[in-house]
Amino acid sequence: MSVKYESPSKEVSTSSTQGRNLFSRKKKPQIGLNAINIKSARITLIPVFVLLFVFLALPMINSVKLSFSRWGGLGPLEPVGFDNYKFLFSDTQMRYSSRITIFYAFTVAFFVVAIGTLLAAAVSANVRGHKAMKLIWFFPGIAPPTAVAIFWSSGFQPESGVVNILLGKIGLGSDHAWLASSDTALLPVIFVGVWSAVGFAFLVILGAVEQIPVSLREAALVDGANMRQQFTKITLPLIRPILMTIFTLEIIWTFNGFTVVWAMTTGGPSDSTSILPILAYKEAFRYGRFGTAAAMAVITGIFLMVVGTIGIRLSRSEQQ
Amino acid sequence: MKSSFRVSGKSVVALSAISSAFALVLSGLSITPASAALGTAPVTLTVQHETTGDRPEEEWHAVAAAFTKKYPNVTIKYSPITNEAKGGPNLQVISSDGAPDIALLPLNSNVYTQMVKNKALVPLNGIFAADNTVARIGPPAAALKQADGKYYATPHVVVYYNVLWTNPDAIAKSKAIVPASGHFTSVAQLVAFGKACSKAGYAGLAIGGKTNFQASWMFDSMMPTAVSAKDLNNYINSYKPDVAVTAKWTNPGILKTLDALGAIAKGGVYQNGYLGMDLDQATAYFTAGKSCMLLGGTWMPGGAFESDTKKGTMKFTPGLAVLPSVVAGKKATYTPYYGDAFGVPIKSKNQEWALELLRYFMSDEGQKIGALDAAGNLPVVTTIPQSSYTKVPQGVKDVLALVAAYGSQSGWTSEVPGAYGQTFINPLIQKLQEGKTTSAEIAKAQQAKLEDVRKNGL
Repeated sequence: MSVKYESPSKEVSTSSTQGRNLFSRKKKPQIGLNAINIKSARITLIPVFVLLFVFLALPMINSVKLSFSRWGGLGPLEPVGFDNYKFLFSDTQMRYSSRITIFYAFTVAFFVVAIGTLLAAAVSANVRGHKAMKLIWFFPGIAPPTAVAIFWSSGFQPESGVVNILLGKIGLGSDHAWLASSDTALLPVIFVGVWSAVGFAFLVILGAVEQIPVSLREAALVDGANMRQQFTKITLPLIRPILMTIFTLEIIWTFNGFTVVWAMTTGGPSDSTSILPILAYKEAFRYGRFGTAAAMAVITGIFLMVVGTIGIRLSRSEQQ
Repeated sequence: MKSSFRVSGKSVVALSAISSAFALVLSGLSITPASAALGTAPVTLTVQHETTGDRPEEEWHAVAAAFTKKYPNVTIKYSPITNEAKGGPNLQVISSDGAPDIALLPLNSNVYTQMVKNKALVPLNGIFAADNTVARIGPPAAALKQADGKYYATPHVVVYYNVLWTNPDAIAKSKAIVPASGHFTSVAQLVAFGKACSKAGYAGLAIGGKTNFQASWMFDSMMPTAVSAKDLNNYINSYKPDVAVTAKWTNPGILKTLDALGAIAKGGVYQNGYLGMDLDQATAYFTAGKSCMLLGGTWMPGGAFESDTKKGTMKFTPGLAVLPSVVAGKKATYTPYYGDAFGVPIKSKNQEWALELLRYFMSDEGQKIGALDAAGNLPVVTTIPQSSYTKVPQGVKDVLALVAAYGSQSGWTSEVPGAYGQTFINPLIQKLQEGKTTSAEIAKAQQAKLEDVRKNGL
């Protein structure tokens, strides 16, 4: 049986032609925006656009302008065209920093999502100590990044650092000086990046895992699926959009991260851990080359916009 | 009754001359009162000082207490800043409308370069002339004078870096040898010393290789032993476009110095993991008795050494040694640093009072109350007799004795702007210490940097 609804305009015309009719249908409130609503919506949006312009667009415009200038931090800008960009594209340190930043961001994001997912699955499956795990894993996420970095910077010192002491106890030697070599300094930094970020990812992923209807798992269990199959065939596919979002966000956050790396290595030794935000800081505040630093920020911003767009698209397609 | 007291014209001239001379002498010893123009209305001055280092907080608090006693209408507030901020982000603070009245200005930083370039500091010529400050500071004041003939900043203390503090107990147990004069005569001798310490379970020399300055410090002490005084002067000044380049960075003296730094690192003289340790960590390593020596400076006896001794973690009285020379027959020296200076930003809302406070800070009275007695530092003025150095720790006095015997030499990284000097060369020397670059490559890069700075400015 199908129900036929008359359009409101038709209804008005009908009622007007038929005069007063107690049984005639009342005029339905109009859904959507009429001219007056559109006007008031536009007016109410003005403050938002003003704020966006002042706090987002204006600094962005200024950064772009600065990236085409030479500026030591004070006084007027001196336009230099594309010189800053030309310098950056030919600079070996910039190329190196770009490479390690991408490696650092993607590695941290990958491990954060992987460990967060495994932990969420374990807690959701009510493994022993799951309540304590929720708390323990979240603690690093709420610790101040500077304190975390200083703690781990000491922790990785040869002989006296907690990591080396533990390794020494199990016979793996206690004199590893990871932070002192440009070949290995990035590894502890990645470890600390993962350690401090995994708590947040774990909680978000756990929320997604717990949204999966129990009936689905029960049905799988009845069909004979074991834990691993349940995880790979049900849990993972259903939380994939969340994983994609977290992965994208972690890349962006780590890419822009400054505190942990700065407090642990100040970008050294020999600039080996100078990721792009640190390189930009040094360019601006140590070398007084704010124009080059701004150009670096513009390039980084464009790159992250691309990463963000791809991440959002992938997340949406997974949801669909 | 009419007075019969008469003075002849000649007497007037003579009296005037004597009074002027007397006033000139007095001006160096005490401060004349502020002019009435300053008034008695309440005023609050904001002073920046560093959070760590040579006890700047104690120094300023003592000077402020004396100043506010003289001028009860003045209140002094403090704005502490970190070592990292003082040479970089502080530029935005001291050039803003919320600028402090007295700003901290590391002379080899971009902050000072930009503030001077943009005329964002109040000239100090008036207060310098009033108290004969330039003469009281002596030769180091020459470097403060800018191209326009003005002074915009004043140092307040002199510290010596490149001091090798020794642990006599560790050295005795290692049977390592420190030359009687304290001077290592060659890099080979220092390497042998390091090996003896290492054999006994100690590091030879603890350094904070992670910092943005310690890798290049030794360059300051050792390079003058490998180049002529004329060349050294040119290395210090040739970044200025109006000074002709007469000494190239690729000269043998520079290459030999860099080779020496590489050899020390390769010889295993430093502690394990030194490139991952900052100076505080290296200092703690030394005071805990784990190394035979520490590369440090004169702020340590009154700072970390004193506090670690009180805590009981430092159980020895440190001695002294000096870095090796690069060329046989010459002696390396300790390096004086006058670099952390103060100035008055043009955006200060109380410029007259700020100048008056700075003037008092630099007077002999202010220097004695603050730098000398409160902080135990060496005052930058030379007009305070050494007999007044009662609060200066013995270790610092020992350094002064060695300076008196062998002299001292200004460091290249302290003299030139950081963007051209220390900031640029430090990571390169770290690379050299890791064995990932060569002396020739560093010299070439520094020469290219010189040409770039001369062409494009800082």
